[in-house]
Amino acid sequence: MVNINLVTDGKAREGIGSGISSLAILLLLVLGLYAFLVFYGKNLDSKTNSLKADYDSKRSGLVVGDSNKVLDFENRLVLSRKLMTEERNVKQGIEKVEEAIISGTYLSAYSYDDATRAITLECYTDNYETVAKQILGFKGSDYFSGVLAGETKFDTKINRIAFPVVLTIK
Amino acid sequence: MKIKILLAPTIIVLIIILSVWVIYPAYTNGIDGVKEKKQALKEQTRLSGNLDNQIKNVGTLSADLRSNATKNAVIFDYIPRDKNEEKIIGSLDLLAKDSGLSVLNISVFEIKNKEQNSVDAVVPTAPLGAALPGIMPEVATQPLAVTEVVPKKIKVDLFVLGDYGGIKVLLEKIQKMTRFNKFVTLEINTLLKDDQTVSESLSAKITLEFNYLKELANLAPGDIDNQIFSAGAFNKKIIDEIEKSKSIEVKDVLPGQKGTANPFLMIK
Repeated sequence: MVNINLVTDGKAREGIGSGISSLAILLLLVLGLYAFLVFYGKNLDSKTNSLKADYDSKRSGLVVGDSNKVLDFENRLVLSRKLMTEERNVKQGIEKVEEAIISGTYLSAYSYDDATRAITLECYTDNYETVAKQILGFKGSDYFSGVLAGETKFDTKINRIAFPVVLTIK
Repeated sequence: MKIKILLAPTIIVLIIILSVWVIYPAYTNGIDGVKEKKQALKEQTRLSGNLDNQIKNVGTLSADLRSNATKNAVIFDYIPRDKNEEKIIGSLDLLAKDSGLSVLNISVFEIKNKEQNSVDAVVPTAPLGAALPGIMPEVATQPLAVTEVVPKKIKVDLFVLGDYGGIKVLLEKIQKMTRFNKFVTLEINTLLKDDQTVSESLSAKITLEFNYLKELANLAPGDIDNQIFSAGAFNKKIIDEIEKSKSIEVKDVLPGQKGTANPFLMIK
């Protein structure tokens, strides 16, 4: 019969003992790391809160100072830039119509609408040849992107042809 | 001996459990771990640094407002603080008369729209307090807000009679007024004489839009994050542009003689 000897010798016992010690030290290090993280976290919180309190105090000081005047002026500058681009030269539109009118045609009404950027004209002339030439004249202008002729009527009171034209500004 | 054999794996398991469920969450958990707190402190330090810079810039900008008051006044003429409708009426009447036209009507209306009812002057265009990843909520309450200024609008109807040249001159003069104005509509019509022939006089109905912007009394939340406080200098190029294209001053109205025994009788 073969004998099994379960009794460890002194070296094996020492090995187990030192291994457990190392693990115990590692466990302590882990616990120490946790304690450090908790302490460091609290320290960070305290620094952040202190900075935040200082920030809030300075910020409220800034709000009640001259900053409203500064921002008011800046708002006006920003708004002025936007508004300057919105302004249209209405006189230029009239002058472009003047340039495009051919002889034999005259206007009875001129209207401009900024929302549609369109000029609506009520024109009068003697014959349809001039009507055609006038529409072509408006189409030849670089200032207008669209020319729309409407329904023509013969005005018996003045014996002339009335024709509306809608010009869209580029 | 048996205890010693069991102790080793127990400690190993304990170390693993502590590392996974305690140490790592203490380091980072997406909300209040040390990593997040460090980021929050970094962000707060950055905000504090920016605020110091903003405070310095406010001082510089305020000094600019005081020292360049005359040049800066161009902007306050272009977009006044008050409605000043009496100045509009007085100026349009004067300009029309100077252009040789007869004034039939000048009416002033304040345009009430939804935007003006809800917010007096400033409309936020960006969400406030967008949370930054990894930053504690209380730190993320200092947002970068972009605001759009909305002025109050006034509509003015001007009805005049006169010759074509005079109407053109009036249009040019209105356009050169130092106060912002926009032609909303313009209608020019011929007039018929008694004998049904076309008169040389024309009628012109001009609808104009003016505006004004009340002075900012207090800063709203988020205003302090306006880029001007970080930039530290005004971009005043627009003042030169306004000065170049606008030359007709909106005149003050002289006060009339006050006091009457009967307000239903006209005293000349």
